[in-house]
Amino acid sequence: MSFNTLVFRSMRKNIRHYYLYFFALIFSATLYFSFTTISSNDDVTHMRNADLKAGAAFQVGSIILIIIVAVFVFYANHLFMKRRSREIGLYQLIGMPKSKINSMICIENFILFTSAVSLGVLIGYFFSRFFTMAFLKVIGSDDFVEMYFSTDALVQTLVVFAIIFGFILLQTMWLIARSKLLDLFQAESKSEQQVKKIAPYQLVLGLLGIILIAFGYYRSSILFEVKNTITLNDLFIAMAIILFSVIVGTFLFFRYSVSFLFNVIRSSKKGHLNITDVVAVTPIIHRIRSSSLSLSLITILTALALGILSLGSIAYYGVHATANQNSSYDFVTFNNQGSFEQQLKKEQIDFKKQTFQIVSADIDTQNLLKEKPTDDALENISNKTQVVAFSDAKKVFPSINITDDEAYLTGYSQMMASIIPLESGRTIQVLLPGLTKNLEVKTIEKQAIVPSYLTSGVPAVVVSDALFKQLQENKKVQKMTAWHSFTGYTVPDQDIKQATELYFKTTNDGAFKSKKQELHPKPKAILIKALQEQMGLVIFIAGFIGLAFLFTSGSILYFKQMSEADEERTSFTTMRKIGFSEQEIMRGIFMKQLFNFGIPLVIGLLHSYFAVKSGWMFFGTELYTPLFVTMGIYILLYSIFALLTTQYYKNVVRQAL
Amino acid sequence: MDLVKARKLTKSYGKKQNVQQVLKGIDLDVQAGEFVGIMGASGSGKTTLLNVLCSIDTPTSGIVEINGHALHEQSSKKLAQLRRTEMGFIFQDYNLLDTLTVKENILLPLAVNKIKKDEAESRCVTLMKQLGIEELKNKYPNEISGGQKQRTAAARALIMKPSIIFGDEPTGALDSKSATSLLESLEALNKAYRVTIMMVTHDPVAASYCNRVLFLKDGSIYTELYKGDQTHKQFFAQIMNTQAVLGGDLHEL
Repeated sequence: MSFNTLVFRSMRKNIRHYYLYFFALIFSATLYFSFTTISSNDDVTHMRNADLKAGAAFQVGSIILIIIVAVFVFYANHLFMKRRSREIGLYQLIGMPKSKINSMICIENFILFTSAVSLGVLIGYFFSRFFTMAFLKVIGSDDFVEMYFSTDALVQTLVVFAIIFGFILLQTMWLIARSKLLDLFQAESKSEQQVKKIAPYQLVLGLLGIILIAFGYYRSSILFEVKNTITLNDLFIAMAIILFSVIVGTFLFFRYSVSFLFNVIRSSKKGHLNITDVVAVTPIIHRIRSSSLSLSLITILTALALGILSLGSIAYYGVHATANQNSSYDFVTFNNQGSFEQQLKKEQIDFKKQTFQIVSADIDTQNLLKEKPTDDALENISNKTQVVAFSDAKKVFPSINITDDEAYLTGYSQMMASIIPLESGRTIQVLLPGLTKNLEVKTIEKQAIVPSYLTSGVPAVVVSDALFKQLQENKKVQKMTAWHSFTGYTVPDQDIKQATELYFKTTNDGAFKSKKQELHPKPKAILIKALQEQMGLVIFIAGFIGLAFLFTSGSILYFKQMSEADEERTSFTTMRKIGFSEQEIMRGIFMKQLFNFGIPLVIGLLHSYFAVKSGWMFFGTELYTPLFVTMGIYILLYSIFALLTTQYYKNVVRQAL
Repeated sequence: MDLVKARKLTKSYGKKQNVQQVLKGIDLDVQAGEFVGIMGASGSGKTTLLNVLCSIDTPTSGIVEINGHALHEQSSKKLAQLRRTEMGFIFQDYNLLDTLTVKENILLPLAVNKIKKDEAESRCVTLMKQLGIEELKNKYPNEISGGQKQRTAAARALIMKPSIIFGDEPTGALDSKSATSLLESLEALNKAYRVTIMMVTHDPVAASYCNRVLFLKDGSIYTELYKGDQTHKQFFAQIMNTQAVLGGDLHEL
């Protein structure tokens, strides 16, 4: 038998082991090729919106993709080599030199890589159109995409996979060079160790793991509160601490808490195990040392993927709400500048308008802060606040009522609520030369009256008409106030396009000037479009990366369970022989898979929940709907891998007898 | 009463062109309390016969009844239950689960059977005492010797109080001292509890502990020997003679 025949024979015999590795390679190549194809598409990168750095975003995305793909392929190759250690040992035993084995594995890998990458590119070619359409859809564009083949993308894909291939060969050679004949025959059972007694240090480390995770969660929930975080540097340090404690905690949890818990369950049975203990609990204890690392890895990957996906979807979901928070009107003009309204009338466009008088005044709102900030933070707080008269505010909040000593706060955004929580029922102080007054804040409204490009996110204050008049007459206020009024217009949907043109024509391309400032308020439709493109890009790239994470973690688990199932085949044979039915064994297997897939998923979900909760307000306005939808989809896709694994076990158990 | 009843058992492997008949119509009756050995050269079909009798394998034709249950009429689930309740198994390579301790391995068949914990506990302790493995109860299989593993397997086979125990070369992997002591234990259990034992062996010493030895040749029963009132030595000599006539196996000793 010639050398080449041997290679092909061994590949054919190992096809069952190969196919997931192969499939994983194809999937990676497909994902990478479509991604680079899309990013090299001019339609996509040169979107009309100039401030959108799509090219850069795609570049970052592709680097992350390469890292995921590389790590995954390395892991898969490692596991794969371990599974084949017996075969390689046999070759060595019959006197094949290591160099020959190396070249054999090299040929195998070469065949695998070339066919996987060609298939991946082919599938990627067909899918990239679909992906591009999906991309344009999420950014709200109606453009039609032709099928196209990008040579740049092909070259990039080939280069990346050639490099990965090179590293895989190095890894393989290293593994083979390091191996001793004896090890090769024992590799499958090498990592197994017996957990004999429940040592006290296990309990301590197990508890420490849980404490670290809890601490990370707690610290993340107060990450952005002003009193804890003063500079950007502090923020990074805090984030690093959270990451560290959660990751280490996760590992300790799997390595010690789980084995401690299971050992306690086991010894409480005093030898009288039930089927779940036999098929699920004891093998898990048996392997916890080797599997704790991969289980933690999967948990972290799941958390990362879910975090990225959830934030992306929160951002995308919140586009309209964010635009509305900016300004609830389709168009806004300031200080009555321009002839927008006349033009609307002239073109017979139906519109509604609301005009508000505003002033800027010094009002000290520190008293409202739920927690006293540090002095450093106080220095950065300005007292300049936009003030609206009660009678104007009634146009937006018809039900409010106010006396001379009371005030309302409006436009208290979600982001602000998380960073600087305020409390109503306290007093604020008007601080002006010749006008000092305490006002009791009755309510703090989330909805805004004054557009955010005027307030820069600081809540505007509503005061009684009398006080407003006093403010208007105050010298300092007159000096401070750059904008004394704004008008919001609402136009029927079908006229938006025409009105936008008019708006730009009549307002000097949307610019408003006063003595000190210049404003460029974007019409809402344009803002939404821009946000949609921006967030669409975010969710699209997040989706790609999230998918890669999902696939990686699912495959790692599947790989691991596949080798475990093969190792346990003899146990299943014994159990079948002495009278356990297939169904009874499968009952235990379900529990085992529930643990192997369920625990990393649940903990990953928790991690991502706390991560998202700490910073979601920077991305959107609604937390739960997009978060739960994302998690739901993720769980669904993830359980496919659990199903595949269980199916594999089912076959092993069935064939065991 | 016939505990095991087999009629016209045949078993063949392979496809149409290349059929190999391993069992060629075997009739067999085993009474309750018997200790039966099955001998024969390699390839004579002794392990296949045992597997077919204990429902691990299915015959091509013919019927097997265990304690009145016709195996071919049972579903696979019912068969598993029969194996659990009516039969015990001891295999050449022990077949203990590496992840379980000695005690857990012995109690393994109870994982799906509803038996009171106290009763199971006392049964387990009695068996461990009888087989001399009580000290080892918290050890794992890779920490004990072959003989101890096989005693563990024997205890596991007996824990459900089966009506019959099947052994496939139970002494095959043991040194002669461990083998002898295991066989003495089995003989004692056979006498004390009237447990029926049926084992495949190619070791005439092991066979000499049986009451009856069947000789298989090319898939049929060639002859059978009864121990009667003979001593071990006499029966051993008789077995050796038969084997010599049968040809084959002698050089393996």
